[in-house]
Amino acid sequence: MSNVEAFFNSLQKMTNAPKLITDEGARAAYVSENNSRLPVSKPLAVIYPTCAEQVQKLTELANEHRISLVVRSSGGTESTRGASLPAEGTRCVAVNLSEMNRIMNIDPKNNMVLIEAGVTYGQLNEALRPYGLYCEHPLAPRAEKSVIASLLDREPVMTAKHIWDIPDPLCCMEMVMGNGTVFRSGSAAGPGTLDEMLESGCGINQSQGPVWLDLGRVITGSQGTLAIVTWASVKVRPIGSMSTLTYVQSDDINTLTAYVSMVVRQRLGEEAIILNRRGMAQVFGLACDAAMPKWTYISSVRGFRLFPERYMGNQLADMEDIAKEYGLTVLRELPGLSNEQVNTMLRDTSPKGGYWRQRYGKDVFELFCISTMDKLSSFSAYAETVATRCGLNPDDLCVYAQPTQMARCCHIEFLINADVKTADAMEALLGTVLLENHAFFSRPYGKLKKAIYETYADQQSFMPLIKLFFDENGLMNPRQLVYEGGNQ
Amino acid sequence: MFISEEAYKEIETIVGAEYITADEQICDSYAQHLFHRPDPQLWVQRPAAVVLPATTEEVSAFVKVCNKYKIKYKATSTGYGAHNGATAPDCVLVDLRRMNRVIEVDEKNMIAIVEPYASSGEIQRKVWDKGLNLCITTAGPQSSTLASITSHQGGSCAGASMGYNGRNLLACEWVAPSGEIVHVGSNDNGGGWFSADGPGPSLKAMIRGYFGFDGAMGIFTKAAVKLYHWAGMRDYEISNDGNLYEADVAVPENMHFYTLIHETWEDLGEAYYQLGEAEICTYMNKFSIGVTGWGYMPAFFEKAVKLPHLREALKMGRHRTVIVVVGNSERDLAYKVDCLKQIAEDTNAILFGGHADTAYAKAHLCSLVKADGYASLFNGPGTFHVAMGADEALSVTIKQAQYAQEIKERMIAEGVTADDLGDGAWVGIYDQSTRGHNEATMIFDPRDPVAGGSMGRYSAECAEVLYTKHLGGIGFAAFGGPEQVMMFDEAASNYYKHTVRIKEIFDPDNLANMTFV
Repeated sequence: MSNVEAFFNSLQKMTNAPKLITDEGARAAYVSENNSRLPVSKPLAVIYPTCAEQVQKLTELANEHRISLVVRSSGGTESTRGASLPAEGTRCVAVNLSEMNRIMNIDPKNNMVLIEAGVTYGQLNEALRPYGLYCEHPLAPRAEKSVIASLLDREPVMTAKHIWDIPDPLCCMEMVMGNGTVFRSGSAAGPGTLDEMLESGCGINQSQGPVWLDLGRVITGSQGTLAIVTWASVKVRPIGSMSTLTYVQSDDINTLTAYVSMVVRQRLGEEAIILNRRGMAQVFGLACDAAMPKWTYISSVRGFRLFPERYMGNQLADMEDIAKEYGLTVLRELPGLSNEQVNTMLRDTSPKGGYWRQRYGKDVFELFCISTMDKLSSFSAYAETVATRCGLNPDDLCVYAQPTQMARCCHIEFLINADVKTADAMEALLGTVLLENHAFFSRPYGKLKKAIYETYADQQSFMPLIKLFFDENGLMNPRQLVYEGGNQ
Repeated sequence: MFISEEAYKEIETIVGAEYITADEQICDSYAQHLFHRPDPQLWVQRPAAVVLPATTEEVSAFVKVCNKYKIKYKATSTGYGAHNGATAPDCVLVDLRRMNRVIEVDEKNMIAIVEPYASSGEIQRKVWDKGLNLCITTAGPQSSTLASITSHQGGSCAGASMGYNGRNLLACEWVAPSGEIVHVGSNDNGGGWFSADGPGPSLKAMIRGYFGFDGAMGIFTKAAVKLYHWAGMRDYEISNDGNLYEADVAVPENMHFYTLIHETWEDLGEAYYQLGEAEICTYMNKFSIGVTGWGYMPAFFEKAVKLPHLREALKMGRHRTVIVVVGNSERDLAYKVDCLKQIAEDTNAILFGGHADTAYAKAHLCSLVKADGYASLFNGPGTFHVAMGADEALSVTIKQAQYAQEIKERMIAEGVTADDLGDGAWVGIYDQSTRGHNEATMIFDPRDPVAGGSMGRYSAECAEVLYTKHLGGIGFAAFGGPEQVMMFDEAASNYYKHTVRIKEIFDPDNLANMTFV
């Protein structure tokens, strides 16, 4: 009997065994919905756990039988970056957590929720609405996007002023390490069971710990190569009793980012995003208007429990004062774009089948990095030059900048529709230029991964040690990240 | 000598003869610490030698020699407690005082890059000028910012507006246990110091952890610290002879100081939730009258609490919170002050204060913004201990404070500890949120065997409460000695065993020597 058959047999003998699908169609979907330009393999089977105990047991069995696991928490099998699909040449079993989708606890006193890995943004915000709360999220994520998967991937949320540190708003979690060990991070570690802690009034809101450990944060950005997270606590925020939008536009990105830095550090506004002209079209479906200033900063202002009107009035007045210092104007609406349209994109998920990154088709080239906001100008210029060199119209290049960590830095993302060959050329050329100019690829994806790890050589030598700690048999999502010297 | 002559000479070649010593008298001067220890002893282990490197390269070469000869070592900078001391007689202490530069202040991106011995006060002086500020923990302005953000745990009255310092670390430079120089985070590619994590998994989180390894996980040589917006004073001089209690300091009009007094713990807890939500405090913490009394006027307070009428009067002010409000504009200040008044009314509190123009307000305001009031806790009987300290929901930290008060009141009744009216809680809000920090302080005289024993008992009883009542973690029981550390291990996800394993993987000979691992 092969190790795979032995693994399947053992799984099926489990008390409360998870659903195991070996059906060709289910396996093939992992390949057919791959939009990443990276070749992937069909999984040997798909397992659908419904509880943490099943995940722990199946990981233990995977170690016993040396079976590689690839985890996916979001709904469907579509993948734009390929990290949740088995890498080419690997023989893996897919673990699909989308059926672990319980909202375990909503704590309106402490503004915290406990959710399982398969809970999506759409589902969570629907459940939070009656409490007057919402979960901060990335710009209009897919409706079926798992909250935990998104936050573990350090996908930036839009409220820069509330992001004190990585991995906010993600707090504590239960993980099953690649070696099968169950660990609860932060204050979730105990003492006491989760129920006992909740009974004592705990918010499960201390993300680091216990003591010398910060393992929850270690596994952020690991793309499922170290552990499987079964549930986590996430900070949520009051929706507020009233809100409005502000827009500041300029052709000079340096002036605009200086303004953004100043308002975010003074805690003015809530959601805050920067888009170029094409970005406005990409996100909101506007017709590209050459008369529109090249850059737009959009920020919402909300009023809360105490003196909401006055609070909003102060925020707007302070924004206007700062804008004047930079020769800018704060607008309350933009021609041709309703505030309702903008609010929909800022507050909700993308409509099903209408994901904003695929507005102009699924053949989209995407590259993102983080840097300080003053680099947005030069990085955008490089991207335009590279697009031109690759035979694309630079006016079709969408630039989306997401200030984060109180605007100390920002996520800078470039999107443009291109065929596979052109996209590969864009990735190679723009990736090289950005790396040479010290862009930071905290989330390495695509064919650029190897070059990124070669560039960040100091830390690379420690990756095998981290892998060894979590997954000594190298079973988690093999060949996805570079663990040179490790047991991949 | 605990290290071989050969090894000594190799280290001497690296740092120069002036900067290494095994002289027992000098080594003894590194072996007395008053704070944060599981027993009341004044003395910690005398190090085998003390080394003072001047550069990262010297640190790296030194660590490589330690690996070659299997020499234990531990890094220290400004130091604050027993956790900074040598952990074994054959341990070399690495005193980083020669690495004291504020390398850069990046005003635009709100980051400062500092060396281990750059003091928090010095950094603050440099960044205030640029309309920025940093979180200084209660260790005070003389303490190392790098040590705080990379290697230890500690609350701050700035936590509401400037977070927890373990989360204020950005990219850093680190000499690994192998001696290799490593740039962690975005600076690995010379890309700047703005991000701590990645590419991919976070090495930073592995080597920093939560409480920090206290200089026993390699040696951090440079670090970027987050700075925050600051609309307060750009500097101040105490225009009298330096006596903080009569400080004649010019405080800008947009800086107010308030005292908020609650009769019950429940009202106080509710007020903290509202303060966090309204985001109005730049500095705040619960500063009980007992802690203030023993810190600022110990002789008077010791007598005052023995007078029944005065004792009752003082008890009315036990649950006292001090707050600094800074307005970014006139309208912002007015709004924040009105919110504070509303919160006081909603939670049945007494609120007094305003623009900080009285001696009382100025003394407190100065002690909060520079965190220099806390050193006064050593003024009374000689030292203090902290218990509880498990960061969690504000309501849970308030529960910790209540339990600690009950324990202390029993001990006061037995006459075995200094009488601070029972409530020694120092509580603060983090990140303008619902998460809090509580330190249950006990002031004691380490020369008094009864008081020393009481400290151990207070520590153990508080740990027992955290354990049995499930109040959010291990907290300062982690400093309560091996018994408390092990008591929590299995109950808290085997954190100790995981730590040992990390040390085995990253530092197989355990040369960077931890206190309990």
